[in-house]
Amino acid sequence: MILSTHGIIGSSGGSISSLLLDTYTGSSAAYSLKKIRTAYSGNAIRVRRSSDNAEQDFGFVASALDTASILTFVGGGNGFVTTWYDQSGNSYNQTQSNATQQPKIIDSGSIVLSNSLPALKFDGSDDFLVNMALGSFFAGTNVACSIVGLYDFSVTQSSTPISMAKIATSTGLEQLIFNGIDTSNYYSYKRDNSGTIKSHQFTSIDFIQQLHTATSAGSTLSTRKNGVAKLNNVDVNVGNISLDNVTLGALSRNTSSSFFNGKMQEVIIFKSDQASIISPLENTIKTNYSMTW
Amino acid sequence: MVGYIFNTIEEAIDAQNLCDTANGYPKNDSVTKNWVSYQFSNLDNFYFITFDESIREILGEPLIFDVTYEAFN
Repeated sequence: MILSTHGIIGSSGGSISSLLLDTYTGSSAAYSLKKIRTAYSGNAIRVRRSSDNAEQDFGFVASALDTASILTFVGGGNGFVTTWYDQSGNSYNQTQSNATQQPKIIDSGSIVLSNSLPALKFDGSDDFLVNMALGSFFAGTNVACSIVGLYDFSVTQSSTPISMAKIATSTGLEQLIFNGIDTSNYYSYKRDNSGTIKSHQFTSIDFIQQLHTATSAGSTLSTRKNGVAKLNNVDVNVGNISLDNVTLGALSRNTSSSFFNGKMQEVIIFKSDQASIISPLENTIKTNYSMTW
Repeated sequence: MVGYIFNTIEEAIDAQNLCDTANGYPKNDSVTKNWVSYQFSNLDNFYFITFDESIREILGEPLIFDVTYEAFN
């Protein structure tokens, strides 16, 4: 056992007595299908059932999603997520108000799973969740930011699990993205209001549950996949960026695009550079989700 | 893209309303406000609704058309 500056960490890296964000504090937004902060007393997700379009909130049993109650509510049909609640305490909930664009949690009476644990399935056609206030939190010049995401890509198509962007501007080109995929690479980039872009990429895409982290003090960016460094302090200094939204599952500009085709279980966003603690944080998530890398 | 194209926002809203009515929207105390959304393609200058099997009987057979997206990386 190691006594770290971030709490007591087990020899395997897992937290013994506290949840993930009890140890790694200060997140701006935190979405998970597990309970990840002890002080959070709200629900996990709100679900619409296909049988009659009724909606209901669902929370946790211990620290796991209350799947039994969701299955009872949805029955043999499909269950779609209208709201993924923010566990950070800041109430930056992710929502989708259009029925046909809501990600799925129940598919024909069965929980959607990734590595045997509940996951949201985005169809890669038009599904996404969005918060229209959180993006402005990260607007400006070289704002520090760190993002942790647990994804499962399904196919090689332009696919964005998380983006920050601005809707309906004259250029519509501002965005900040961490580790999406195109047809052959993972990519990360920033683009400013006038279209100046700093884009970086790495290979090779695979199609299993995977943990992506990105840390940035503002002008440089480092990304990691499954605990392995992929981009190290690459230049992302493009000056001032105007942002309004943070979107899960798409890039929301004048026209939403680059829809995520895959599954998602956890996304945590910090307005700070978390490079110094990213490795133990990754190891805790690895343990929580029984990942094998 | 498989879906439906509209020249004006009024036509797109009318189609959205048809889908809402057929599926019982609007509902009270519901996060879901509409059955489908429409989008404006800035570079093509038209409105469109992405196809979903649930709206075939409401809006008819969909079209196949191209939407020009802004560069993403």
